[in-house]
Amino acid sequence: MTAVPLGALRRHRLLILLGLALLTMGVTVASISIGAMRIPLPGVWSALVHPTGTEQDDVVRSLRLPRTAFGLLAGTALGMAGALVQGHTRNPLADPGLLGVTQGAAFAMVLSIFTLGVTDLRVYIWFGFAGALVASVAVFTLGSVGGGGATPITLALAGAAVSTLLHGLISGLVLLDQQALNVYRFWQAGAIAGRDARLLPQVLPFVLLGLFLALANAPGLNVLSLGEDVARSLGRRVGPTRALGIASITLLTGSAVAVCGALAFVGLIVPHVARALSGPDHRWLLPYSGLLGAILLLGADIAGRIVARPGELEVGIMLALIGGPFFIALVRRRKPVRL
Amino acid sequence: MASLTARDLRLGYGDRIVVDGLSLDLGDAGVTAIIGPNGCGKSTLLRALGRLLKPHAGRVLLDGDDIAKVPTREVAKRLAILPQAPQAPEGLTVADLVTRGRHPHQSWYRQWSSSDEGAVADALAKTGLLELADRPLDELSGGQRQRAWISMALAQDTGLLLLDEPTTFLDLAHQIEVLELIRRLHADHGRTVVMVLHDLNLAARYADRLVAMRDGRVAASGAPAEVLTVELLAEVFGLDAKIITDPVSGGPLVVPLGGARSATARPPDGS
Repeated sequence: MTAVPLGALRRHRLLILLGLALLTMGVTVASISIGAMRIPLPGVWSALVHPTGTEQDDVVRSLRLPRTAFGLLAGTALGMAGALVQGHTRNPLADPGLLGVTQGAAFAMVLSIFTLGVTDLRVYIWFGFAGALVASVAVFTLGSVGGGGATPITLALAGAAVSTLLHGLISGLVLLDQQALNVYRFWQAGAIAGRDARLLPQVLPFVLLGLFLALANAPGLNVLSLGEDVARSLGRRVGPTRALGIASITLLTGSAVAVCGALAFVGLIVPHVARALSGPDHRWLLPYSGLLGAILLLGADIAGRIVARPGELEVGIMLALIGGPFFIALVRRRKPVRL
Repeated sequence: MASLTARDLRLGYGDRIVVDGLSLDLGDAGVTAIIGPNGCGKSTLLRALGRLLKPHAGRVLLDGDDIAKVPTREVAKRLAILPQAPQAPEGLTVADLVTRGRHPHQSWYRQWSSSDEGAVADALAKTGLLELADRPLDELSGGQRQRAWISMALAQDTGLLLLDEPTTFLDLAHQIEVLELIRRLHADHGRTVVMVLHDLNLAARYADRLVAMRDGRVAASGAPAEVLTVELLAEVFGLDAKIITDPVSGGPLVVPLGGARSATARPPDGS
């Protein structure tokens, strides 16, 4: 006889995972169906499976579908990246931008527009992606110099320093360049609508790699969350475990923000909701966070189409409207979480 | 039986050398307690023995192998070290914590097996925590929480267990609870335990062997009755004390003289 209810617990957690997956499918369908033109489910189905070139088919295939796909992609990526960054820094207020990734992407994009006159979205997202990589490597290096290696505190400090510096530089650049300012303003709010569908297959491999690395990082992150000494005692090498997590955060956040802009709140809120469902086990927390990120982002996007009908509110604004009060409630309801 | 040996260790943090030229044999010693005044380097030594701290010079040998050359995961199957006052994330249950002790025995393709299940149930049973398995750590008493951490180290299934002040922050009853458990781990389950302990009398009662350290070197080592002498206490701790026989265990009992002196110095009429 064993009093350890591990089997029952695992069943319970699998059921939650299944529920979240169903919910994700639900919002996906709703996101294709709901909007200025309401398309009933049979219409969605026929547009996807055997389109006949009607206006309705066109809306589904060239507008709603890419928009929904970007929402799924960015939501999953930011949700998981948020759970990773909170786990690695043991900081419940950390978000994926903490490691300088978001400002790095923004700076590189603005710089490419300013110096090279890049105007094509499909070109400057690559600058954004490269900027995210460079910023995160810089933060990791800065956070690792000195005796102790990269600790949660040195990483957070280096991330804040690099982000602040980049933000200052961006502010300077956009004052000098009207075109850069326009792109930056739009980017800063964040959007999943009106993105070029051809970007999707280009960023997809990076997101998938990031998701894979995140899940591979889960067992290591579990023991790291007991403290670095305990992790080492359990035979885990701390440096490579951190590096793997940061690579994953960079890939996920870099792809999401380069394509969809600085979508605030997803990476900050989602891990808290996921943790309430999963407890502090990252093997469950990470997939929950990914699905919840997609649900939140698509849900906010759908809400933005409903409240301002027949126009719509950008998803970034909706996220701030939903996320702000939600986060205040979360913080007030429970005492600050210790990670 | 697992053996752990330190050879000519020089340990420190940056330029500050804490331990220099220390050699020590901890083979097959049952329960060893390292004692010494604050800052004498006992925790530093324990961290080096558990390969959490890389020596500036010298070697730590685990069953004859240089611990720095054995892959850390292999070391983790032979030796567990529990730092002082470890912190767990909020909401972590006892079972979750103990399960994580199986980490060195798992890999990305083999996450959980029946031998893991058995080791976890076994570790919980040994520490008397089976009934508390699904309770969050935050809800437990200090003594129960410490037992849960020891349980995690037990699930690691190693012959050697290094504990850095396992009784810190616990009241006396909980200190006894934890030390009784440590005693049983050796007596009933054959684990070799090396721990840093502050309380001399508890160390004398629960350890088979004491290692007294001062200024980064071993001042004395041996059975409690051999180590705890009036001379050694004066030399190592700068403490005037009387040694009497512990009426319960028959071992040495340290009675510091400081307070007693001021009491006898008081005028006999009590005015």
